[in-house]
Amino acid sequence: MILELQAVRHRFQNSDWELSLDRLVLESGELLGIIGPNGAGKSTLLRIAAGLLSPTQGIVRLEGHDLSRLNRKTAARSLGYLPQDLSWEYDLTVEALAGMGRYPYLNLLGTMGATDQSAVDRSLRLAGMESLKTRRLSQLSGGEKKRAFLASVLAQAPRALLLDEPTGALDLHHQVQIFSLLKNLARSGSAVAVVTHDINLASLYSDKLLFLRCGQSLAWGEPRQVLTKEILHTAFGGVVLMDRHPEIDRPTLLPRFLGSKNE
Amino acid sequence: MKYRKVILFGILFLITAAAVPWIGSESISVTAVIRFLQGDGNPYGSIFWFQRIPRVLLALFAGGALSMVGACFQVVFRNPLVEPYTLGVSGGSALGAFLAISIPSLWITWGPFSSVQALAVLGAAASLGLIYALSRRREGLSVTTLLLAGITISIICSGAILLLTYLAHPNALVIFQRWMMGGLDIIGYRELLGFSPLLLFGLGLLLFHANDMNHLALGDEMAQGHGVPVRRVQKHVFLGGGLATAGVVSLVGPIGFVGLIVPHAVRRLVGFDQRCVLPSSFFLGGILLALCDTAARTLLAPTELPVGIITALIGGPLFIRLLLRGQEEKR
Repeated sequence: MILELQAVRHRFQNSDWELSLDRLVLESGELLGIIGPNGAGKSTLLRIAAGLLSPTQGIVRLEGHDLSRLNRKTAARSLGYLPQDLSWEYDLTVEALAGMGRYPYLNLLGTMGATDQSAVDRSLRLAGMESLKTRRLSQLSGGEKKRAFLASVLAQAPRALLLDEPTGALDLHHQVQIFSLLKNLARSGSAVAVVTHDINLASLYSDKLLFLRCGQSLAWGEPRQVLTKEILHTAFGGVVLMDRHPEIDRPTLLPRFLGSKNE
Repeated sequence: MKYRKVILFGILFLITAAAVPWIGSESISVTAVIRFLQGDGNPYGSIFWFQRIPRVLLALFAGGALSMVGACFQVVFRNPLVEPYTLGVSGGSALGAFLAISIPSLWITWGPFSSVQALAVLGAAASLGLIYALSRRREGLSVTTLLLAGITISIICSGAILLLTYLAHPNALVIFQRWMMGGLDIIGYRELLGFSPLLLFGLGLLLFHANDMNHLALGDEMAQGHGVPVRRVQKHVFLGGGLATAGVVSLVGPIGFVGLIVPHAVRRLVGFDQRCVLPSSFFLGGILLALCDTAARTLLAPTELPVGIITALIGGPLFIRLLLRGQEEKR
């Protein structure tokens, strides 16, 4: 058990909306998909799990330690976080960006040693960015940028990895590439949690799913237990159909056709 | 080796420090300077050791400090137009200085120090504290509030200054106007020592976070994810930069443009890595102000121009040029 959230409640100032989750556990070797409609609290939950937001109530434990009491640098050695919006104010090379992920291991001046360099090389290889490492960020496509930032998070050598919409605004090719990459990371022993609005990808690649709605957990478990007709009806009303993926036994959703069929 | 340029600028800084004191309305011979050290008390040696050297040191350190603070503020507050005085520090210290100048019972002198400097530091500290309190949030400092509060406090201070101007004695007005132009005259070693603790503490705090500031360029969340204590960095940069600026402004008045332009020029020369930008800004800013001050001392000799006039007249056009060049590159 790498990351554990217990009795977490969060309320923003001047708002009735509340996130409330009794327990969430992230195990090593596991890919957890966090899904749900917009405004369900997916990103808020992930930011709480990453220690960026301290919840109004409840506790987050990272390898048994209270995350809010851990120093950020120490926490970053076991916990990686990739935010949804990526930005940069100056045009770094991919390798320099990946090197910035070594921050929690470096001294004040940030000088890198041989171990740091080999960790950077490894993270570039994992993210499939080795051949592009001398490119600058402005010369990369959207999918390559995501992977470049992912390489910087991987360079932290985290045991738990939290990603907020890593496939947002990417085409299908890159979406599949990133999810299979995350799956491989989980297979090699990391704990991975992904927030995504793409239920099909989450169903296909995740070991566990958490379905959030209005700040509450609607269902938690294996994809086949979570994506049932009843739950989908509660969440989306009658606008989706459920099918089985042609390759593996995982549920797949299709949007309903509500127009006239004679057109 | 990425620090090569920094070392080069450091050498230029030392050369400037060694060369500039020899330039001035009185030409001074090397023998006079050396003989003064041997204790003959000739007036030229005295001018060199007790007027020019402290003045050049002040110019080097004040210009360096303003540029380094500007380089930090522009990155941490994510705004290329920020300079050390944007945070209302100059407004607060100008008000403090004017209070001391215009109200006779507040003008006290102790040796080389006067209540003008003391109240200028107090005014700067008060406006810094107020801005800090206003922009503090649970998630850290709100950069937008910080800038707005800084500008608002500057406006309130200038309103108060206008009121005092209306009521004050004409003699006080002349002194105050002179203070507002910024200048490096009437400085001795004791004043230099008086402002060095503020400066050393402030600049030290900024240098301490040089590498952390690089990470802020990736956004607060990414930086926090990498393990950077973003809130602490913001606070320390605000505090360190504010204190260093307060120290400078209390001694030399508001000297514009150095803290705005030098960081931009430095980034063109050494790139964006704050570990190189901060020391380079310090060296080049110091050199620039020392040269401007030399021009101020010699152009209209024996009269002196306030150095603030020179930095604004040279700095303004340079900045416009930088802006135009930047736009061309974006196209």
